Amino acid sequence: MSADLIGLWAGAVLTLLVFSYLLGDTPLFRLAQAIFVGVAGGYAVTVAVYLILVPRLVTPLVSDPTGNSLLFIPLALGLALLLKLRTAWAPFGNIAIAFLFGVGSALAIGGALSGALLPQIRATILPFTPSLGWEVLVDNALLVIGTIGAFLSFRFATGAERPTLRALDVLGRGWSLLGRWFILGAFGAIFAGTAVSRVSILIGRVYYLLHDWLQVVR
Amino acid sequence: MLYCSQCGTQNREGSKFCNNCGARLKPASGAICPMCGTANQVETVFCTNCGARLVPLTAEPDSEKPASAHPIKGLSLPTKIPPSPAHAEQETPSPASAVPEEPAHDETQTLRDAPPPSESREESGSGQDVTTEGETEIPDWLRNLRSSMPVEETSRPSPVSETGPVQAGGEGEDQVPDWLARLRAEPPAEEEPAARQVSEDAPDWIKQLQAQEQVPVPPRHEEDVPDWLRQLHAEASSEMTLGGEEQASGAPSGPAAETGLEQDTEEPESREPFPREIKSDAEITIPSWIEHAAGIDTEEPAPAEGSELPVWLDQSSLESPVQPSPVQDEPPVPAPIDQLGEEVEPPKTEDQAALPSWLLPSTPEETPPETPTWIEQVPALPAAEEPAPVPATDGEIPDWIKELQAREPAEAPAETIPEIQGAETESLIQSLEQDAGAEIPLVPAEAAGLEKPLEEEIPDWLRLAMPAERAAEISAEAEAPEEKIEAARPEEVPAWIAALRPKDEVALTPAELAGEPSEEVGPLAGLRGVLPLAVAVAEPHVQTKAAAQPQAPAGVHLFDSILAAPAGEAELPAAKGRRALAIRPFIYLLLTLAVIVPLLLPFSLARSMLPIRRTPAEGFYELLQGLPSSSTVLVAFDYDASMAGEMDLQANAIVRDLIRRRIKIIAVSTLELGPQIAQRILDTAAAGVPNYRYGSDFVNAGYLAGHEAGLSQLATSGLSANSVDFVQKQKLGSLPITANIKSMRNVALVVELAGSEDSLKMWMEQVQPRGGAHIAAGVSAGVEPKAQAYYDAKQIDAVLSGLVGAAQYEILSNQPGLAVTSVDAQSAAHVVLVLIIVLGNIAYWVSRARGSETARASRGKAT
Repeated sequence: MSADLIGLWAGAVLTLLVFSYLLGDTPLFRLAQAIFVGVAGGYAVTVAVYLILVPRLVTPLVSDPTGNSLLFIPLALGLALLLKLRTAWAPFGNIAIAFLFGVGSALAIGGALSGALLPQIRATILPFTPSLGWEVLVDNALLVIGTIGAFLSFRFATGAERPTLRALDVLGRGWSLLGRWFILGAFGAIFAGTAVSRVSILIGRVYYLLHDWLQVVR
Repeated sequence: MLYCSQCGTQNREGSKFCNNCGARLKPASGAICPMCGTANQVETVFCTNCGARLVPLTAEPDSEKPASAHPIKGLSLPTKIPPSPAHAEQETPSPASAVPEEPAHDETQTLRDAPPPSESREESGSGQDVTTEGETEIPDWLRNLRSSMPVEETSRPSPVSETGPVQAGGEGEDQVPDWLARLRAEPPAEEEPAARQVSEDAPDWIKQLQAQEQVPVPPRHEEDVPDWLRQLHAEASSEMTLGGEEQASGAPSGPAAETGLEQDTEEPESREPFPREIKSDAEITIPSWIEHAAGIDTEEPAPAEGSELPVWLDQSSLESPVQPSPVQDEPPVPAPIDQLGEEVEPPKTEDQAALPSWLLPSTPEETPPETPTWIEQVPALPAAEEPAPVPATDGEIPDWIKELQAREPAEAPAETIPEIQGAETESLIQSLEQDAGAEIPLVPAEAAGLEKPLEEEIPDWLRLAMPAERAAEISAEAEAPEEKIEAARPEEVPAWIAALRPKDEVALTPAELAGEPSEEVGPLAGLRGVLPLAVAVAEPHVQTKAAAQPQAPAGVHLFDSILAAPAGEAELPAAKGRRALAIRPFIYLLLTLAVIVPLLLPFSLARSMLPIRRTPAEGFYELLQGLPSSSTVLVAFDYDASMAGEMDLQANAIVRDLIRRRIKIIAVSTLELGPQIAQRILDTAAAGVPNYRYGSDFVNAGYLAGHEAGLSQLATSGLSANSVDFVQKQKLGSLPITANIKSMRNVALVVELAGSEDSLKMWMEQVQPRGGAHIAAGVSAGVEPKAQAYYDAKQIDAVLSGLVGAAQYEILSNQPGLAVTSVDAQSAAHVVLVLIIVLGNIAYWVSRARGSETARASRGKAT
């Protein structure tokens, strides 16, 4: 029996075990869940060791320590992370944790500004020239109105007392209500896409069982 | 503060019993008064209760120093050992020669008669034994007084004519304090009106008692005798008279009857009526209790009435056998003189001792609290030693004597009753009864309206001398002090607190008052409902349980019926749950059939109806078609096994098209499981393509660690030279396809296959802004809304979404595969899902309408 056949049967059995969840939280489902978690974790460690640590840290330090002396810094930080396993030595591991969180936070904040916030704001500044055609105008208008309405839906201020501001307050309330509907539409689209995605996954699993394992489907 | 050793309750300073449990409080440290048993603070010289000296005087070892030079620090009782009865009989003079012949003998006379320690031994002759024995028992301060007295006697024959014995005392003048000299030097005219005023302020019962005196006092003596002494004398005689009436009626009462005191028949001389003694000038100056004390010294111990004798008198009766006669040359100071200050000190009740001074009821009879006890003792000597300076003494009475005079009627009986015991005391009291000229029954303190003596403060030595029955009674009373306190405290509430009583308290019925909690501690003890909190907390008369009202709304009855309904009716949720369980497999079955049937029986309906043109998939396809041959495309497999069923279709379609066009592929992944998926897709796609080799045409660069940091490094520095590929584990820098990738500008396109939003977001935030890279995103259907936003913002060049996008790409690339096969199943599943959603909403609205009708009907029934 080849490894492919074992893998095929293992995959089929584990798929059926996962489907047993339709009958409830059965031990079979829990068994398959534990197997997936264990295999995924072990595989991740193996990949990290053989693709990251060994070729990018250990091998350069062994082959040319002097030329790769800067690699001692990540080595020390990596070893400091292991000190987190012991409570008395945990403060030494906080240095590596702080380094990781600091670098990650800085990159995330900078990337959010440059890769999400500013481009998305710029994308809502759309032209309203008649030459674009009514379809584009309506599309741009809906986009602007929906974006501003979504922002106004998170406005929780009370009503204004001055008559001049009262009209704006009424307008803001109406616009925020419209923006709320835009948000609901976005949530509906995400939910529908998720449902479609899960149906595709179901199809893939059923196809695996019918095609690969049972071979009833060509 | 004092803390109870039994319950730990915090009590006020000076309290003798715990406010909580009633246990006797013992100070942590302090001196116990040998006279009254009061616990005093450490280093206290005099007892705070009775004024007795707590610190014994030390004898002066230096004989050269004059004995009179010792300062008088106060009067303390000499601790005298009672001599044997035989010795006492030998030394005790006969009462006939003592009391009648020397009725004017008083404390000061005794002191005057007492010689100095050195001289008395030389001058005393026959009385050497007594003197010697007395010397050993008399403290030093008393010797000092003795040494000064003869000098005064010789130099100042008449106290009226002289400014004072101290001034004429020569050597003794230096020994007497100034205040004493001033007291003696005061003009007599100032005291007379004060004394009369005090006499007029005497209580009514005293006046009545004075009126009941059968023997009138001669006018000559009336004028000579100070009013306060007269009052004291009359008071003593009247008390005896009142008691005698009861005793004459044959109804024994009071402690005297209890102790079985009998009249003394051995000394008929001592039974002379009291008024006869008043005829003497010297006798007039002597209060009755001093006469009693003198009788102890001179007479053979006579039966005494407990109700008339203070505590100190009881002790003096014990010491009387050793006291020399007043007629002797060297009479020792009788015990009453030592205890004079104690007698004038008002005994404190338990509550008075427990309460602070400001809370004590102020009466005109009280001595100002600033006056120490020893001051009251010492000045009493000159006032008493004046034999009969008739007209002058009235005017010379100082204020403290007035206060003493005013306090005597109320205090003297209070210290008397039960402590007297023994045959000596009985005989003493019998003699006093006979001196009063009438049968003197005992008058209980309670009957006279006086305070009961503080028996709990009786020292142990005195309690041991009591009869067993009386000691047991005192102990029993001491064990239950709370009742006394509760009974006494309401009387001690100050007026300002009593004014705080709620006005409507009078409207409360006794039953309501019984329900109200009363204050147990503090100055409000005994009051009910004074504090609002007590009323609010207790409120026993308020009904807390609401009674059912007949006019209650229907909702109340409905709620009561629901509560009263048995628990078996709550089956509706379970039925709903079973119904849901019955529907759920039906939904599963429909979805399974919708997926399996199209796979088994492909009808190609969806393929024919699938839109291709002017779709995002077409843009994606055109973007890849615009890539030149031999260009390098970086394909990121950022999805794991859970999304492989959907994302593999896109990956297969894209990779097959790229390989078919000989476009070089570098596969990376930001997930640990991504390289394995990528390798499987690449191997499958490259299997049928000739001369498309691993390492030169395509490579699996493996796992890209570091998430944002790894992508940022990839965008700026390209692939790390030290990284190895996933298959051959060769350094990427050594591979021809990856050796020249220094940034994303070196790749023609980045195809991001994102199974989750986070992966796409990282690429958009870390790689795309750093410029140079064109990104095409093949995403899951759930990530499409997010990817569409990036596409609209022109952050990515093309979007391929889900299985449908894969099928479109296969159709566009003319490589129909699994995606096209799965489209029918996907479409069938979508139809089933739409039907389920529609039917579910219809069922919801119908059930809602039925629910509203049911609720409306139930409301109609209720109304």
